[in-house]
Amino acid sequence: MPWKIGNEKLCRVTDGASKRLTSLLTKQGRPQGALRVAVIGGGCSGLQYKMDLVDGPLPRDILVPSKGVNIVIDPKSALFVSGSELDYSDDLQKGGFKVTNPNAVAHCSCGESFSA
Amino acid sequence: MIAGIDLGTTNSLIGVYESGFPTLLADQHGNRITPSVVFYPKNGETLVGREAERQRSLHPDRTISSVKRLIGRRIGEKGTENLLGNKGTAASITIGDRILTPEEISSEILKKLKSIAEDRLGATINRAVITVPAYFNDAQRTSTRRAGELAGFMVERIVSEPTAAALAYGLDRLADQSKVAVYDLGGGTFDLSVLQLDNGVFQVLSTHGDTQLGGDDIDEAIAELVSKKAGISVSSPAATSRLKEAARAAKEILSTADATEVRLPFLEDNRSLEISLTRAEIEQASAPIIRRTRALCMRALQDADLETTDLDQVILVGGSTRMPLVRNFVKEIFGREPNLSQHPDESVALGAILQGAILEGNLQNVALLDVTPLSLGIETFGGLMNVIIPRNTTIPAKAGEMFTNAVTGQQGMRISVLQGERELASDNWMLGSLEIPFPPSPKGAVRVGVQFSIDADGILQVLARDTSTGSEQIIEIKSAVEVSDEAVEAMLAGSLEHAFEDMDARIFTEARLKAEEMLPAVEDALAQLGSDLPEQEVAEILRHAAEVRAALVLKETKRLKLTIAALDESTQILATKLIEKALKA
Repeated sequence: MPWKIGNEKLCRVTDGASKRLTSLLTKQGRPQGALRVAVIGGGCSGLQYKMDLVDGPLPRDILVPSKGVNIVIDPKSALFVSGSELDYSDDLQKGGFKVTNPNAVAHCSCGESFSA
Repeated sequence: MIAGIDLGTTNSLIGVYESGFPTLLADQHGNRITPSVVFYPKNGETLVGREAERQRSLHPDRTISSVKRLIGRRIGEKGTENLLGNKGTAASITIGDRILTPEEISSEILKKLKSIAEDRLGATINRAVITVPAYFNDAQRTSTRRAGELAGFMVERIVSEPTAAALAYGLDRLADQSKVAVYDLGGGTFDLSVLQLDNGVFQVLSTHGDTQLGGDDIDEAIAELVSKKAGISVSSPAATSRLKEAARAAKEILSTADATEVRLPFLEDNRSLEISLTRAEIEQASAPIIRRTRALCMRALQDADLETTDLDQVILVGGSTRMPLVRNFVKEIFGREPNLSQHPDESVALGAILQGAILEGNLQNVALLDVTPLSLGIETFGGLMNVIIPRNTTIPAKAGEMFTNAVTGQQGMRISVLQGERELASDNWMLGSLEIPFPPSPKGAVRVGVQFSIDADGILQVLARDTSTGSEQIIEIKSAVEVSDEAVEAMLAGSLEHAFEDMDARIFTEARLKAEEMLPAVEDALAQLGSDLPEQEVAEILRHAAEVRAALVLKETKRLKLTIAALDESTQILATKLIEKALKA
């Protein structure tokens, strides 16, 4: 296989996020699809997450199965996401997907950027 | 679609190849691992998996596990010691008034897996690849095939487990004649197989194992250690099974942690068990069991007429190989680091899925969607890369961002289109550039929208528009997707090698830009309002500003960020006064 399999130490989803992602992927007609998580420079605290629903892993990716959802991460992003958890809540105020990263020293209030 | 099935002694898994990658399928509770346990009630439906396992303590005589040990066996052969029947006849198990063959019982497990897959996929799955141990003889293989047929599958192929694991590890891409040792320590069995790659197909050169050696024995040794350490011995089946469950949990925790607590309240006769346990202790207890694998490894190598130095790879299979002790032991036996890139519990099933995909011809013509091989973006103030379309985005794709002028009086913006994964613009490749002019304005007043769009043919169009005047510039770049694999590899290697220093450089630059913006603003405000503030406050602000300047000179990222935050904090009152003054004026 051209990609590697990682474990939940790298990145994991909560039950809530798993449910939401599964239903999004099913709605999109690709129940076997995956969530791509990337960390790119920029954003208000230096680094920001980009997330996208994709068909599956690509060469050199790391595939992390978590709670029945496949997460795919490119190797460079993997250096920065390590230990992250993706949560989803229906809360009106702070609803939506949110990532917590134990490596981050500063988070911005939107939960989309952080600095490592 | 062909399903891949790992029909294990303790646990079984099923999956399919879909959308270009192998996926294990989970049941409705999200479990991808189904215990190979079958429960036959007096009346009603047969249960399989966790549901069957739950019945074990209530109905031990109606619950069957490890049926794999009996499949294809005749009375008198190994494993059939406790069974009734005439020597030489096929093994069978009597439950109540039913006589069941191992094939029938196995087929219940396969039926369960089939229904998990069909529920998940919403389609009928009637073709399968099933794995068996390398040492299985013809009778055992034939019986496994028959079990598959009884479950409603057309069994496309019976594959040996080490071969499947090697496929999952991607070892079919090694050079021809490469040799691989597969160390498989499961729940109840151990095998060491030596494989050789011949024209893209794995041949089993030799295999040796012990069908009564596995993680269960380790759990028992740990359970014994726990009860000895606590000074509590248990006799009831319920307490024994709780103790063993706790031992297994401790083993799993101690595969990553150095110490843990075992707590079993009211274990037996109102006595509770509570002790601490270290990795060293469980390693000492399990070492004798693991050491038993050495002779088997040596014998397999001998049979294959190989030395450890002849091996190209050693791979680990089976949940028990998660123990650091096992990994170190394997390293010691073979004199090399084992390959740890795959999930030890899932690699056999993944390999079965891949084998199914190969049979279907799926792996040769995987329709890979075109993606951006590298990130695309523009250079921003300070020489940083600002990614607009990240690497691996499916094309066609469109994305944009708004930019503003960084300097007062600036008369235009030069947009350099970059490709690459590095944080500093100068380390990436420049694909082209365009210039958008605008009338001189104060810093931050101009809004330029930059839009990247790549069409299905990989042609990148970059559009920049000054939102106030509506004037726009467009550039078309044809080579945004066509990058040689070597060039992509080199760019990725560089980005990984320099990841942390690059990120540090980015964060420093961003902080430097902020400092360079703040310092003159603070000076300006002090000149206007300094006399309205207490002397002490002004001195404090000046001290913090000096510290920011010092951090800039030292080029220390962390220090710069901290001093900026401190300066920001100390100028809060000054900022408020500035706003008040502006409002009055």
